Amino acid sequence: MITKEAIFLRMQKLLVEVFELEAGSIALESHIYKDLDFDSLDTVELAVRLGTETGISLQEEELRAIRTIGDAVDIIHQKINR
Amino acid sequence: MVGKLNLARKWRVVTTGFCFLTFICGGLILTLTALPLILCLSATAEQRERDVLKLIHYAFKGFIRYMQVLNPIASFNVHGLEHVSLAKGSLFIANHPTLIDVVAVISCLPACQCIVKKSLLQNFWFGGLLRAAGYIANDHAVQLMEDCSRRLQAGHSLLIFPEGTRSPADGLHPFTRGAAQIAIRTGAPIVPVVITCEPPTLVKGEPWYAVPARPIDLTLHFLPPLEIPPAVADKQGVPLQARVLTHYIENFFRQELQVTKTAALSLPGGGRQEPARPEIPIGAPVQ
Repeated sequence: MITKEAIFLRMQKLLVEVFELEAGSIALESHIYKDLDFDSLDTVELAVRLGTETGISLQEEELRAIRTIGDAVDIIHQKINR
Repeated sequence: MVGKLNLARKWRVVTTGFCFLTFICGGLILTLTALPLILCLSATAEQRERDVLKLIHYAFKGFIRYMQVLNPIASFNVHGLEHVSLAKGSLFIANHPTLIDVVAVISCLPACQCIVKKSLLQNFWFGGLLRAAGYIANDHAVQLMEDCSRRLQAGHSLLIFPEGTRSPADGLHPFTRGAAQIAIRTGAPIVPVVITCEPPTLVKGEPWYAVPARPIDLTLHFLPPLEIPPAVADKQGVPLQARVLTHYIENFFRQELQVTKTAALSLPGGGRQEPARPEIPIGAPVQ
């Protein structure tokens, strides 16, 4: 069982590495478009990297539904622990 | 004198409305007449797409001339077309001061596709033409990137307005990163097109009948392909490279617009002398 906290920390590390974001600026409630300056292609890039690391794949509809880091953590948590 | 001016302006409201009507009906007429002919006569899907692109190019060319005759446009000036002839498979990036600049740019480019809203591809009047020309819908990010790569590799050019909407008065909206993403992923050359429209007209939120005090001077400057600064390659991964390149392109446009507007004050026809330019900053643009 992988916890949501572990997924968040992994995602935070990935965001720092790939997007050069400050770790302190990333929280569960961070809006990926408004707070983290993402665009739709960044979301796809993040999904690809997450897929490589965790082995799960996110569909485009699922990506579209993601608004905050918390949304992404929830979806990944559900898929990993299904 | 004032009465005569008012009359001229009112007449331009009529001719502008007539231009809109012609554009809309023209789209449907071409869809019902020329498009079926092309669909029947073109041997391959590739040839069909090229023929429809040519049809749109010549239709837009004629439409610009038509607007000059009816007088919403006083002058249409194009500079730097030599950069177009070498620009097969290029990414044309333009600012977006007025509704008609897509018509103006395509009137100069015989094989150029556009990224458009999906709703435009479903438009009753000219959606059929745009679909047959292979215009690309902007609704699916991954599909969009694949479509753009395929078109550019086939030697077509792409026109992108990185502001995503029409420019505000006297400036630019922040650029979105799609154009830089496409350029980085495909390696296509970026050809900047700096557009000026004096006086401003058909800006976002303004009704079509709010015509300016005089007919417009529409000017396109096709500039040499951008040299990508080393700072882009210094970054790891497409997302970061796209951020740096987008800042660079936006700064480039801000500087070029300034140069163009300054030169237009001193040269007739929107031409410009090439001044010494400061280096384009790499960092985030100052709004």
